[in-house]
Amino acid sequence: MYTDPLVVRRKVEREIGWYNERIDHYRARGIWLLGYTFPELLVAFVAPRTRPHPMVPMGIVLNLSNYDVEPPSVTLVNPLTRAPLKFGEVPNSLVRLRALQALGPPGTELPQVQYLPATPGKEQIPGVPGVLPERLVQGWSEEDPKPFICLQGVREYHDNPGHSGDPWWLHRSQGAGRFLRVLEVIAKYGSEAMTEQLQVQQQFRVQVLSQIAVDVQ
Amino acid sequence: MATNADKDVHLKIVVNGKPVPLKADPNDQLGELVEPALDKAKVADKSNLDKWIFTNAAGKVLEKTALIASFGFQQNEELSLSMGAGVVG
Repeated sequence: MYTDPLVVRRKVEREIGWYNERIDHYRARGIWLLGYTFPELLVAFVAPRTRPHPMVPMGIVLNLSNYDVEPPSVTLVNPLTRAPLKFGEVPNSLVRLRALQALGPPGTELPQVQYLPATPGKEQIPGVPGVLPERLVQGWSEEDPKPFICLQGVREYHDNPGHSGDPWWLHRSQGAGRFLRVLEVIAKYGSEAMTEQLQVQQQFRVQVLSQIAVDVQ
Repeated sequence: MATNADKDVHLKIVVNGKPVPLKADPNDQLGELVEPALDKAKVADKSNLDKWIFTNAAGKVLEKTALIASFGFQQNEELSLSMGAGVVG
């Protein structure tokens, strides 16, 4: 850490104070702060809309060293063990819809986007004209040990060579890297978007089938 | 005669997680609250006010061109003001 830890700690704890001030709101949204050992926070995301019961699909470890000279670093983890998730283990790839703008004079038709661009091992998602579905969680393959959240305000996004033209310092003064904002985005496109009982059943079925396969071997 | 629409509404605006109190004129458009809310939250870069999105406690995106009076906010009602990450905020 190259910044003064006392300053960083004060910033982090001020923001934890804002979390505590609205803890009922965050609890209801399933954004549960489980632990804080400076400079790391462990947060579990509870899917509040799954039926018949809420479920806990994932967690993250936020590393806030040098915050906010650097933005928060986000590692997707198993919330029970803190074990990092491989890309193929991430239960929800945080699909957001981004509005596209027509390039050209007024009246130009919006780009037609039919499907989410292919990602290894992830299902295709139908798109609609003018709206581009994007996965915020990115990885090279199912076995990628360090999938990252492709979002302005997340350290891994700005450290990625593909984003060298979009440095953190263009976004810092907008509060893009406030860790509460990052948590809310993950909840909105991740745990809060998990609504269907079917999804739970499908995951359960996959787990059962995997277990059967292991037993057979 | 004063009506409810003439009375200022006191709101709690949560800007990227930071709660700030704000007094609003019900006859203004909701979008007019973006800049003062960012000022109060000490957000320095206000170069693109369009990308800021209001949501209510239920997570519903609120239309910024609508009059504040049309939402029927209660006193001290909490609204979130966040940078949009997608079409649903």
